Amino acid sequence: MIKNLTKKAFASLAVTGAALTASFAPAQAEYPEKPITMVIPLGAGGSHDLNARVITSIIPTYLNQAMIVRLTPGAGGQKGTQEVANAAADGYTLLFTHNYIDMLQQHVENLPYTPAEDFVTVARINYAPIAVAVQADSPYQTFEDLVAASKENPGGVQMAHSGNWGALFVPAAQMMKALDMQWNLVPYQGGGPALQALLSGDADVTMGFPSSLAAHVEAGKVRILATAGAERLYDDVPTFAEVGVEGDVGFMHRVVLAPAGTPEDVLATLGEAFKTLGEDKTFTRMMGRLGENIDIIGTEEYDAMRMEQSEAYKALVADLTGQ
Amino acid sequence: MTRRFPFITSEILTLNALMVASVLSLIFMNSLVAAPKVLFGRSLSAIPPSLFPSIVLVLLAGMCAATLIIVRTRITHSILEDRMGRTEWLRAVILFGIMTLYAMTMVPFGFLISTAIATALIALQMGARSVLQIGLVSFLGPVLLYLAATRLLAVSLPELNTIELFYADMLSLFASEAPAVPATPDASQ
Amino acid sequence: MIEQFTEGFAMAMRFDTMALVSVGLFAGMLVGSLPGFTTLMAMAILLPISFFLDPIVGIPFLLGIYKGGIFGGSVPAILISMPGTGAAVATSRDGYKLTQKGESRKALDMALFSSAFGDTCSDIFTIVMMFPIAYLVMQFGPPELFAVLLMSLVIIAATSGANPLKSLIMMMLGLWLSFVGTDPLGGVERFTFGLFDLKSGIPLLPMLIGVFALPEVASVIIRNEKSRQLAALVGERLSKAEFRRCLPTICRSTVIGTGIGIVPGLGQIVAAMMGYSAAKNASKHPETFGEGEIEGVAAAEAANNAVNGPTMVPLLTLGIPGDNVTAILLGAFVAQGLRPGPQLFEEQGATVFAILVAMVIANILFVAIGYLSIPFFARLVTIKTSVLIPLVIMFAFAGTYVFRSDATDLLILVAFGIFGIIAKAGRFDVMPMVMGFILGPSMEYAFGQTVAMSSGNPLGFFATERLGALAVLLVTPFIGYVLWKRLYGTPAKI
Repeated sequence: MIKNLTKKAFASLAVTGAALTASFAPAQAEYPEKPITMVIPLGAGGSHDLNARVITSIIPTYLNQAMIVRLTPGAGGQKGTQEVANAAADGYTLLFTHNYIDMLQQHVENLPYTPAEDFVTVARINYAPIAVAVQADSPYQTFEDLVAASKENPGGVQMAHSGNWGALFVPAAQMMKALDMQWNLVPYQGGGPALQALLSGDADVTMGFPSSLAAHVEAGKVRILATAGAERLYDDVPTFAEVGVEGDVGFMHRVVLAPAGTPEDVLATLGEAFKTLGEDKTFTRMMGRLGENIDIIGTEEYDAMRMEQSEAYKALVADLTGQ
Repeated sequence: MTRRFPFITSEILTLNALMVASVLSLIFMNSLVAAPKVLFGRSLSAIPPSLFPSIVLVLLAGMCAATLIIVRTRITHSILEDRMGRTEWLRAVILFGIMTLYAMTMVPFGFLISTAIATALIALQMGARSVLQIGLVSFLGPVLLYLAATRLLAVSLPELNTIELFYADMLSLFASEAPAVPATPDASQ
Repeated sequence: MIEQFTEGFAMAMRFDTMALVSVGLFAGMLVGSLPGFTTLMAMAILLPISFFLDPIVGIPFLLGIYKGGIFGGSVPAILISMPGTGAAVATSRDGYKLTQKGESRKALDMALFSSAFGDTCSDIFTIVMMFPIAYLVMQFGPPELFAVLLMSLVIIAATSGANPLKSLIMMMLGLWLSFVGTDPLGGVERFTFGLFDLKSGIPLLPMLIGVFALPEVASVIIRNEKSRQLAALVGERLSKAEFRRCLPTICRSTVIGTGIGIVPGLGQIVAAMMGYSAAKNASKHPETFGEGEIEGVAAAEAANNAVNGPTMVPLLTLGIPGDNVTAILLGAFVAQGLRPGPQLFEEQGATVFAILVAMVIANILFVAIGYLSIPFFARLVTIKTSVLIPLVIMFAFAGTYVFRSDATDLLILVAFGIFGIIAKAGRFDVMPMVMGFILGPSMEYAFGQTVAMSSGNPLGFFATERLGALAVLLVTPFIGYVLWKRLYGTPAKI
């Protein structure tokens, strides 16, 4: 037992050790010849942080260099993003962000950088669809009940979200627009506290990613009324499209970006490393445990998606703020 | 008021400065605090962004004024008064000058060079004259801290590319001589 | 439930668990003692290792790093007045004075024993009362949080500094500084003067090091003590009698800390300050607090460590992490296939209890490891100042930089250092400023949420639905007045 365990422990140490020893490896003529920094414009302990820890513990195997995580939270993600925008385009500074910071923020704030021009995609790692959730003993049995109640009593339904223009706020605003209803939007400091508000009865409805809702659904504390995407995630729960909310609503894409102007061969090396990472057994197992999917998409494909997102969000913001 | 009560002066100066700053901020509140944004014709935040600042600034200005009145009616003896003469203030100015220099040079000069300059200057200011001691502190200190921070703790400090590559070369030399054991993070902590 | 517990207890008694907990404790202590290199970073870096270990080994390993890190943070706070986190601020107040008196070893010992005592009691309490605590946690929403934060600020203002009026001024200044940046509720800029560097607000770490450590460091240079040492002696170890004298204080702080741990979002900083204030208020000689009173160290350290137990409750019973540390633990749990949430105890009760028991074991191991390490730490202050001070300044700058990787923070550090010197000369206490700065944003946020929840009518909302919060709000001025009267009954000293 103990022997087996020590073996496992050593294997694990070797993996993390690889991250550290990679920097001790003989210098190579080609990229990468020193550790790569991955900036996260969000705080410690969030889902990006956790995802990044898994990525950086395994990707050194394919890059022969360590990847260092640097958390630079602040100004709703703008601080870290700007830092990478200003960094040298040599492939040694990357940004790990999501679509709302990347493409939506430019339409609601004055940014010191231009996302579309200052960044190129290295790889989209995965995406998470959002779900609308109520307490299990809530009077709203179906999404229609919720909509009916919201229309009857505008602003009477309390919706807990994770901050203005965040991953919960945007889909909620899109729904309010599409279904012509009014919720009372109450901000919380993150998705966790918003879920807690739902559970304690302070909020009537919230949203969340299936990975964080699953335990509560199984325990019979929370009911899911609708999920994002074209296909049903749960057999008896309708999708947003089925309840009348059309379009690219409610997806969070986690994506690695590089400053624009990064050499082609560097992007190719990185892209290749991320692609093989997506097939790595340890990586898939660990991401599976975190409840995250893996769906690696390369530079061209996701860059095209970014342009679409930008257009869609621009229209959305113009719609919502009436400007 | 020059030499006799310098600290009562510094206290009064601080209070006056705070009072003036808070009154000015109250007057120009509208240009210092942006108006809340709007969604569906409703404000995006439940309380105006200027509500808390206004309350705090009014209290701050009021209490500064009250304290100033009390201070003026009593003259108390400062404890620190005897210690801070002209030489002392001069030393403080030099010290914070060095620190400002350090702050401004860390990124352009890199961690090693900026730290070596700043620590050597501070050691000199403190009267250290042993070349060996100053050299050891201002060279070994930053090198060891840099390597510990970037290699063991995996956080980044600013460094010039040439120096960073030099470190990498040195370590790889070292690693190729003794390559057997993969460094475990535990052992290296 | 009982069988699960006994089974878990047996599971936790493993050699490899204890070995890795010890490694974690030691690593955490070293990293935590470097300001700016937070325990959180150490945990995040070592998190992937835990993925590959058995849950009963991997998670206690992370907990070890965390506990070691909290104590590590009080080492520089005591030795060189450099608190790396808000939680260590209250400790540095009396701890550094003790170091200057040549009693650093005693202060470190007291910090260690009271931390371990507070932590152990709150862990055991948490294990026994897990579900009642889970129920209590759910009773706290934004209105309650606002009420408790306001009361905390009033208590801090009423009990710190020699002059309550000047303490209040500094607190208001701290609140004002906390408004700089992007408004957390509406996302609009306040007092930024259009500077992007100020958009994310003033960072905490440069403020802490700037106002607490730099003035102390500077005063050594200014007074030209080149060949002297910060303290000639490290002093005696803590005696049994001294510990016994502080025991009532430690127990009081443990209760306060555990209680504050139940309120989501308050945490160690408030606990340390409240424990300290309560000890000062209860003391027969409150004037010795802030002048090197060993009881002050005990009060702050017992309270901030007693928070640890209850903060695990929302994580385990709801799967909702209350802070960044528990968020990392959540990742570790999930990666182990243990999904925290309502069903965790039914499905994996024994394993969870094993982890909780390992927490208690970690505390006991910690006393041994800490006790052996303290003599080495304590010796630091006997290094010649012309060697020590340049190195301290290097650590201050490097720590500030790694915190956010922003060169502007270094200038902010120097600016707060200068402000610290001026405040010292003008006899302003900077502690209320720091506390206002830390707690202000949470208080404003909670108030904004309350108004949003009440659809714009907070008064009616408090009166009809939130009677608990209303009661706290009503009793606050009264508590403030009583404390102020008791501690400064004589006319205000300027």
